[in-house]
Amino acid sequence: MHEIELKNISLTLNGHHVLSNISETIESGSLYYLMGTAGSGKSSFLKVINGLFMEIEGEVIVNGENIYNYGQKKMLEYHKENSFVFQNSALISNMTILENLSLYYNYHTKLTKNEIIEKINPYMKLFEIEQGKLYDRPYYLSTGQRMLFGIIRALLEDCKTIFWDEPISNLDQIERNKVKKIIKEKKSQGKTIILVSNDWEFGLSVADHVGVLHNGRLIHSEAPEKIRKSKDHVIKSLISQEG
Amino acid sequence: MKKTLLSHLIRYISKPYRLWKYIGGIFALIVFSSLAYLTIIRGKKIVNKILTDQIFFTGNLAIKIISSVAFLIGAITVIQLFERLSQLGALDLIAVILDSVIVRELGPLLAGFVVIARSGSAIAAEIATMMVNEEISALEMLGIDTLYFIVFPRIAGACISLMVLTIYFIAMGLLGGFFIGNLYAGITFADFQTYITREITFVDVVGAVLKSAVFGVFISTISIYYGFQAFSSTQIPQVTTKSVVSSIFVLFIIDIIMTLSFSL
Repeated sequence: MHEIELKNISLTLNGHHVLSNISETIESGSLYYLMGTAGSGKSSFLKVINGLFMEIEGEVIVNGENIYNYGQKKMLEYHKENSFVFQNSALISNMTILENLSLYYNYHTKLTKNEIIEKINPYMKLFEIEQGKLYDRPYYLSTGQRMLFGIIRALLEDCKTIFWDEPISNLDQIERNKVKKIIKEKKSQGKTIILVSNDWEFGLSVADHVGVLHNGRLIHSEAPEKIRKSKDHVIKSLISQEG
Repeated sequence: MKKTLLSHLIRYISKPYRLWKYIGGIFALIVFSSLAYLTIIRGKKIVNKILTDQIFFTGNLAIKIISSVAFLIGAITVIQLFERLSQLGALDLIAVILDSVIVRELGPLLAGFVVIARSGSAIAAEIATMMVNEEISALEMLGIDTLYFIVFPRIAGACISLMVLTIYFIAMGLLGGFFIGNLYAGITFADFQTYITREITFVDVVGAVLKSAVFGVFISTISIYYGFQAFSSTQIPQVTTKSVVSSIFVLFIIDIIMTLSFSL
């Protein structure tokens, strides 16, 4: 398991400053909750940690090494250790759901189709999704269903670190509760979890540490209790706005 | 005023840099994706499946349009030449001209245009959409090498398809030529076959196929290169148009370089 350390991270995209001079440490095995208004750079923060941007300023240190110095092979190995739930699910649109979910196993292992389906089935039962959906293309599904399959794809990898980018915003209440339960389970299993969610009550209830982003700057990095009690107007507006 | 002058100056200075970035990007995609395919062992089955899908998409689905274009070009060429050649009493030169026009030049070039219009634009739009929808990032997060998984099958698919399409184009073009020759001058198939086999050599066909292979590599790589430049949905049509325009331009550049080197 790896500790993640961000050192003076700045990110500029098309001339816009997305992240400015961010330094932060995320302990291994902890749940780090990232709050912030829309457009504050939360998704970019997650992507920076995963080396998904070509050029950034600063360093992302994982196990004592800057990931932006990794070669292609090492970066792919690093990616294999992390799974990512994308805000828009990011399922491959020209593949069926089953092909999407099988992709990791088809590429990295020699598991048969039936063995892969056996791994998928518990999640299908958990979210009460009919089997036929596995053979649909993503664009035939609702946003919520796509999100669920995006979550299942990330969970099937069974990685040490899981990045959750707004995993529950497109789900109904029943599904939200199931996803929240999964996040808690993963935390209890000792996985490192980095969570971005507009459900601040849930986020603060499960987090070990909380970061608050505002206009691309990390303005707070505290324990959840301190965030709750904070009188900072940004946090107050975030909590009242999101609540 | 100052700002305008400065921005013009920056644009002027950065132009050669952008050109080198473009050329470097294209060659890097070709070299590194081929290396990835040669060195990575896992996932071969799935990558080969994508490769066959690409061949089917670029090759098989273009047969209809190639058939009609090639047949008509062959026919038009003979119609244009027929009167003048018959006035000169040099009808047997038809095969020489068909060789120069259809086999050596228009076959690879027009097949290339069809592939740019059908597949190049589709590849650019597909990759751009994948970029915007974060599908490329999702693949990377699964530990999948996108050069191996996305880039190589598209380059190899376009290359193989265009080689086959060019041979098919040549055959259909010659058939179109024969059809009109038969209709106008009553040239028999045996005569036509004699003219063709006398004038069109194996080297001509190999040259055309080689040309089309290079065209295929560059058309697909340019389309992929531009596809990767999209970061928002509004950029998808822009990068698609750029890829088509750039592919056409590069096609002519490569064509003249290869034609010159073959003639030396």
